[in-house]
Amino acid sequence: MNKKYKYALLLGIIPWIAYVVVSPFFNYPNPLILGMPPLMFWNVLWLFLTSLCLYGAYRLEFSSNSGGEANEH
Amino acid sequence: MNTDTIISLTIILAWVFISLAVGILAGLRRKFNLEGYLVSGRGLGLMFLYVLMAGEIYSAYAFLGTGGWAYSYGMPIMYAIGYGALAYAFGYFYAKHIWKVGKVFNAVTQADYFQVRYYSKVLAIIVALIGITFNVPYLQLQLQGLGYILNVGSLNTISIQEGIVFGMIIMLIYVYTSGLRGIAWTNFLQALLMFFIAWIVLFAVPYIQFGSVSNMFNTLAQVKPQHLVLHPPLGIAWYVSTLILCGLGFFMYPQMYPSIYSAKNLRTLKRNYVLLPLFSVFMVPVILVGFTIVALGIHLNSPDEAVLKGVAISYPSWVLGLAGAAGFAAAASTASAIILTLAGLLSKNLYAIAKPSASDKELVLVSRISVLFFGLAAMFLALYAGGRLVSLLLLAYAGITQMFPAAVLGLFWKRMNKYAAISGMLVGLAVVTYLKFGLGSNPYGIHFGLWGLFINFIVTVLVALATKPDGSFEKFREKIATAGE
Repeated sequence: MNKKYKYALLLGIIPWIAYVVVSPFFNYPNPLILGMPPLMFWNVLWLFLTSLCLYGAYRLEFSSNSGGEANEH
Repeated sequence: MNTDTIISLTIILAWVFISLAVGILAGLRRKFNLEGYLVSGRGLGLMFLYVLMAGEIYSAYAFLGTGGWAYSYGMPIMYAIGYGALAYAFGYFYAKHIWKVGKVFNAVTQADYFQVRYYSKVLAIIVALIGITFNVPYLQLQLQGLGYILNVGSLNTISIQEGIVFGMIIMLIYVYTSGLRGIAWTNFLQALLMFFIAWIVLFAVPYIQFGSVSNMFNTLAQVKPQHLVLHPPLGIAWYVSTLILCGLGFFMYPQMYPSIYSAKNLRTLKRNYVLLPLFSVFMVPVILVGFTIVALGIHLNSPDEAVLKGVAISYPSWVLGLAGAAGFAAAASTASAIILTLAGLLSKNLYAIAKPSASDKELVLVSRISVLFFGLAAMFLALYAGGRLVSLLLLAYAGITQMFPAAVLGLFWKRMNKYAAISGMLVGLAVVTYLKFGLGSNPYGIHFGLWGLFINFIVTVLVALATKPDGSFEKFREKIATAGE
């Protein structure tokens, strides 16, 4: 497993932390953020950020000078 | 029949027949081998792969059920927004192994993967049986949802029973003729319509009723303040354990496997997981409609009506026809993929093991006949045993997730062998069955499925340590290491 793939794995763990560990701390009825209760706002925001994390992982894995994983193509 | 009814009905029927035509055209004049039929010849590009997966993942439950849940319980529904993202983050790293297994060993089902990794026909049969058992009620629920949606969308001109029969026949025709290729093509239309209806029609509902989303939530805070937070029995322990269970269990559903195999290469597969969390955003308007109905103080006898109710009170009645078509899309895109998956398990993993001499042509025929068999079986269950299987359905995620330790540990741990895989799975299933039907509660508020997974994991590891590694790991890794393009 090369270094870049390890960083990619770390990026993949971030959404798990955001939802499983952090999101319960947003369990309050207010303030409303963009009209939504805090927990809803956080969970929706992280749909976008999860895509971003995985895109980061994808770029790390398949950038032009990376090792093993990208050579499979 | 008044004009509104005729317009609604025309919209729904037009949509259903367009789906049918596209589904049939996708497979017309093609001669399928088993790979072509079940995994579309491993040739799907990003766009078709994306809509295939989005369509099969986001079912009638996502389109109606999440709104119903928001209506009944409030904030606990946030688990549904979260677990998809968790599953895709996991799948981004997991699915490539599955895809490689497909490429090297010509695997077309989930049970194929287990058989390849553990060299055990018994395990393959167990996995196939678990997949079939836990998916039939899921399929039945899609059909009941479909009948219900066609009924409401057509302003009661199509009865629920007629809706079930009609929807099923349409699906069976295109799955029978075109296999996964037909599903990918029709799901392209279905996903588009679901997205459009959610964002244009449903998103406007809180604005029409309250002027803005904040006003709606402010009203809700007065009408039902407890709806704005997680609270026991669906408190934080339940929320977190359900997120974990569903996030991990997601890729144990057998219908995930054919769609992974169907990707034309690894990059396409990975890009697909980068983009899938964005499709989950479409549940936001659905959930907002559920909250709107609560804030309005409307009482519903059946909570799953919440979304259609929101449409009915905010729009002229023909818009219900559009919502009905979208509901058909959500249910049909998921149900068709499940039917084909079950047919694959039956033909490739049960029939072919019982009769090893079966030719590829024979297996395609067996698959096609199984498509009809599962479709009709689910249809009769939906017609005559409606609602009685809810407890089985709640068991589905809990049961399916028990394949997780064997599926994932097997990829990395050389001590994993078939004995560990089989004993962990069976113990996990026994635990969830006991907690669900014996004890009947979630100990410490933690989802019973996660308890099963926990004990399953311990048993798997212990048995793996107590038995000798059988060398299956090395053989397996060596072969998939060579997989690329």
